Amino acid sequence: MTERRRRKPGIPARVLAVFLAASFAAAASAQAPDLQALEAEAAAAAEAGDYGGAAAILRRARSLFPGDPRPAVLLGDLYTDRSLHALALDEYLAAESLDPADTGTLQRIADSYGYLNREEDSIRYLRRLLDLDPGSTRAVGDLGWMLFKTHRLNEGIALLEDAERRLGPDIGFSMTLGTLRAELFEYEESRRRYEEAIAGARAEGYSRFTAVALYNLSLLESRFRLWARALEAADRSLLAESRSSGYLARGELRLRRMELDAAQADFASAFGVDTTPLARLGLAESALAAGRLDEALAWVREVADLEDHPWMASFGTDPDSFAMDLHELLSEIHRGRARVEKARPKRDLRDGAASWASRAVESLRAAWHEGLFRKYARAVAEAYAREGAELPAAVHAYLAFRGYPRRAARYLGRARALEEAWVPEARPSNDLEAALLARNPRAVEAALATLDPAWERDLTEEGLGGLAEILARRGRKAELRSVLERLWILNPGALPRRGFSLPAVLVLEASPDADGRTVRSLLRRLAKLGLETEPGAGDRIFELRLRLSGSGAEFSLEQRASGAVLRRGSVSFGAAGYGAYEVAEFVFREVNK
Amino acid sequence: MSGSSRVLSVPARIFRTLALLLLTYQARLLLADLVSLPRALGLCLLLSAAGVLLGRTRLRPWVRLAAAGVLPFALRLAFFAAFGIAGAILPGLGTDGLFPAFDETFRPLLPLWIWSVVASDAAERNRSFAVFEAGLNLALLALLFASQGGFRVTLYSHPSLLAAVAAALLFLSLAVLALLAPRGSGRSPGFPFRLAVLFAALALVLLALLGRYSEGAASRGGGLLKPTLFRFDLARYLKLETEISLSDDLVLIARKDPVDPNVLVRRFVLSEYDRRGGFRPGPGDEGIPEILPREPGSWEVPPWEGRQSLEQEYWILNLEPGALLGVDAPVSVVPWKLEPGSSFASAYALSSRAAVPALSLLLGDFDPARTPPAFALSESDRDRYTRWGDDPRIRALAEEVTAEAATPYDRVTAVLSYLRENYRYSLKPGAAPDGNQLSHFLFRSRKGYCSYFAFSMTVMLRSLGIPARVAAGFFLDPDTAVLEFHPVRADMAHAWTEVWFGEYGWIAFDPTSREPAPGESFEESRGTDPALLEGLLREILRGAREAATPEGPGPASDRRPAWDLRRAAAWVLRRSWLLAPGLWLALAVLGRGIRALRLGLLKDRRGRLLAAWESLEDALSSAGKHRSRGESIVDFAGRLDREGRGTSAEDLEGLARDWERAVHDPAPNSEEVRDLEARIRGFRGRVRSGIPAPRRVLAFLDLRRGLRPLPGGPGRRGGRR
Repeated sequence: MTERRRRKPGIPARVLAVFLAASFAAAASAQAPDLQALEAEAAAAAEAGDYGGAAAILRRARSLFPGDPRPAVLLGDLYTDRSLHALALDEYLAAESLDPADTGTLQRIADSYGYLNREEDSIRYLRRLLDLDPGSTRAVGDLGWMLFKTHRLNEGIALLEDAERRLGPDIGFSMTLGTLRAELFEYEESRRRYEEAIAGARAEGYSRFTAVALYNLSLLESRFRLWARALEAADRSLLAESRSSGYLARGELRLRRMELDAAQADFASAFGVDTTPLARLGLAESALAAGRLDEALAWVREVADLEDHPWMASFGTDPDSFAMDLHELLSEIHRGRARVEKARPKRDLRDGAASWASRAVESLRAAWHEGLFRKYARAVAEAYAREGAELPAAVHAYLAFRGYPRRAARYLGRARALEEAWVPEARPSNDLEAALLARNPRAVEAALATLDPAWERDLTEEGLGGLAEILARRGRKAELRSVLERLWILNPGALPRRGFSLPAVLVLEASPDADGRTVRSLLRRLAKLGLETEPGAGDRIFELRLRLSGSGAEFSLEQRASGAVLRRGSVSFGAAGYGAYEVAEFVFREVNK
Repeated sequence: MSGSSRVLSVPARIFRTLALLLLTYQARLLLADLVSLPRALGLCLLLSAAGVLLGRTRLRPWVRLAAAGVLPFALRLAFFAAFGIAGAILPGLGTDGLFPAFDETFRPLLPLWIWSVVASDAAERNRSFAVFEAGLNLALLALLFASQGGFRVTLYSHPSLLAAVAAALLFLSLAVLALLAPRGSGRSPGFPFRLAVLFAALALVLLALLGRYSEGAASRGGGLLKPTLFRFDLARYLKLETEISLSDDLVLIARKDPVDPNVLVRRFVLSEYDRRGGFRPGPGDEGIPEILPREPGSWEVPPWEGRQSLEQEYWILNLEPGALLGVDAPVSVVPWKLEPGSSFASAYALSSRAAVPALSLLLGDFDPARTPPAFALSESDRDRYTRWGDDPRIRALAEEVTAEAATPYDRVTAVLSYLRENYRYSLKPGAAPDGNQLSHFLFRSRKGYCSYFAFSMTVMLRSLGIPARVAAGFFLDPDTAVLEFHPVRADMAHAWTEVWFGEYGWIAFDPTSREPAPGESFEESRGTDPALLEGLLREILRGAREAATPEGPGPASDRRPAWDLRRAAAWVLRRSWLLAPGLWLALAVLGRGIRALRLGLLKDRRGRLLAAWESLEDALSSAGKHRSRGESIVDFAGRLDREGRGTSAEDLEGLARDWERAVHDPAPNSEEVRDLEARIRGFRGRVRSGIPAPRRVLAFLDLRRGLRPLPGGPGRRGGRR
């Protein structure tokens, strides 16, 4: 505005001055960016998929309106939508500094901490939020969940029951109470709560919530060894909504029954729905069980390198428990690879030396991961012990002290006493654990006889595998052969990864022009695999007929008693020809898969 | 054990143990997930001490070796007994946890524990081993870092820390060598020889290590990346490798408008095609900026048509800090000053003149004959950009492929399409029988990686008289962008072709096929870890940026880049000029101080006399008066008196005779000893007063004198006849 003259202006001049002033003000306000307009622009950009542009607009809005928390909140929401939780937290904290009493911001901060697996910080903000808004059912539910994740079970129960009295029934409260009660092994109360949550969700038409509640119910049934009910709940969960968790639960149950193909299909479906690590670990487990160790390792490696686990916020696990499971799986895989190297036929001395080196490397890796598994198991045990959760503390302590039999036995005893008081059905599996720990073959056999033949086939496989290792170490060959036969019937892929091959009576039919030296070498190699031509092997269940021709080999594996053909295979080696190693390797691979 | 046969002095033992502790620290870094640092260092100390004690026994060698293998387990047993007692007093998970916690450190490093005992025992008894160990320590350090091959060392947050560790280990090894007690027989090889052996060992180790990094770079960098001291950069000389592999390490983060379709970020232009079949920068490529300047700067870019301004930001992580990359033709740059401790090596904002999406529509009308003079290439440039070698098959192929192309643009796109459709991508192109990888690719194998495609297109176009050149840099993958940020990995290093289009300038074409070669499949990169990327984005978004000089070893903007090892090493040394002399001075002061203290506390009269004469001989040596080999002390003193070099107050020979008498006296009189010491000190003072100051300083800094043990017993230097 220009400088005014000293003499008093006339009326037209005054009107002009006012008009000009008003015009200038209007022009100035029109040029000044409007926060709402910027927000709308950002929303439009995000809608169009230009998230970078939307973020840039909101950052500009934040700098233009430094005293307004809204741009920071919206920017945080954008980051949350893109799973950039650490960035989102920065924005929410900035918004909080401008308006510390805004409950929406506090809720967002608590959520972000949850995604970052910083449960204590999340709890702190939820408590603050509840101080400001005691009626927030979402905050109560989230706090109850966080208390569960930090093993403060009784505190969580007290909070949620108090909230129920004050605020009335809520399906979220019911679900979390069910989970808390399950952790305390209170079956009836837990089940009641889950059914309550399921009924409430169904009434409201919340299919996703229903699916989650049914998944949790399935876990409860599994915990109490009520397998058929667990499977039913998992199926119902998938019917409510095809969520990854439903497939995971069903896949785990199918793994128990050693229905490996079906389990793999379920884990693959879970992976198809969402790519959280649990689905990959499930695929790794099913591949491991089937003896496909390279595939199992590939799945686990994808997960092992990740440091970011926001998915844990929605699952009842924590970084230490997850790391424990991860390293246990890796240890088993590497141990299996070392044993496969030991069991497989070797081409020549050089191959033998390379195999030995490979075995050493895999064994070291297995030992490394076993060490990490025990370290994390100990951390989990200590976390449970601090919160007074005796049973999970004892269970994890047993796992942590696996390499120290006396201590492990002590913690196993403690865990058994606690668990079997609530879950008598757990006794057979605990007997098996104790027998394997004591390396007592008779006790292992006794425990195996008490396992559920349908639902505890995985434990049966584990027991037979452990028994085979004990017998092999003691040189009890006849008993070992019998155990290996039983193990093969249950799961052929279990043999190589424990360092064994199926023992059978060998019937070799070589063509007349077969090289005698090759045949003799082949017989020696096959004998190392447990395939022998001795006539006195009357107690063998299986017979392997191997026919050698000029260009290849074919085999059939038969049950001696009935003559039923269990497996066939053939291979052609073409013009290159073959030697004893190629045939032995083919037999080893085909028979034990 | 008598002092004369003890190999290591106390200071040498200390330095030796420090070196072992440093190696333990390195080993622990590799196993940090499981191994506890305090426990590892504690075990190292205890077992090293056990080895020293073992070395002082009279056991036979094989017994000592067996004991070395048993001692770590014995120590474990002792600890477990203590834990057992603790568990009995305070039962619970806490005390039970002591057992596995101990084993988590003990088991993974068991070979190191056995080595600690064996080496300490051997060093205690065998002088040659102590020399050997000094060099071996450096080899062990190299071995520990062998797993860190490739481009960068992941155990340290900054490469300078690795340099500091290596320097510290070298220093400790040097100190041990300096302190090794000379043999009584006088056949000591001497400090210079030991030093030479150590440096030779170090040079071999470094050569092997650097060679490994270089090999790793060529293959793991997709044939395009090469190492500098601790980071890497795109190679300024590209040749065709027979096999490469790809690393998915994060290299930089780029930020640009995601809507803009330009995805090729150029580092170098390579126009010179040489006989060996490689491409390198040519003389005319100097005008293309490659170095990040210290201050905001700009470049002249011809006013090419079909360009628009494109703003970008680059955050350099594992690339050379002074590297400048950008889309198309950079016009101006603003380097940023980064906060101390930043994860990034450098960062800058860049403005380019980038091709508009519709440019291809304009190129169809391009006629080189009608190029305005302002945009025309000079004769020399044209000559350079059309040099293509001499394989007639390549020209014949190019003519065949472009037979139906009417315009230059059609010819270019014909070659582009031909390569994309008829050749396949492979990381294992294989070796050409005649060494001509390009012809092998074009006419036999038909498979290769990006450099093969870029070379082929460039050479084929040049054979048609179309100016073309190779460009090397990275490509941005829109699918991996997070918001407007593009994480760029090492496996995104790329080479492509740029073709001259007169008033439109140099236009980029990417002829690389996306189809894998038959029988080959590529493990898709798992991408950048989201947590890592998010952390870096936080740093980018949080940091207040100001245009300032970026710190780094880069030369000024008008100098050519020379990011080779020599430069980077020189930069490191320039920065550490204070440290090395400072350490030396500290050692000299400390050594002399400790020696003086020990001498003051020394009660043995003979020892005191020997030390006194030793210091007199040091002073005489500093004054240029040296005792000859084989010459006795008395003869030496007599010679000095005859030559008139002694001071006149007392004859040195008389003093020497009195000293010898006292030294060999089984029970020397204390008064006589004190009197002799006083006379020797007086003589020494007179000698010193005549020594020039610089010589005295040098004598003070001589660590051999400052750190040697106190003389003791006959047969040592002071008592030699």
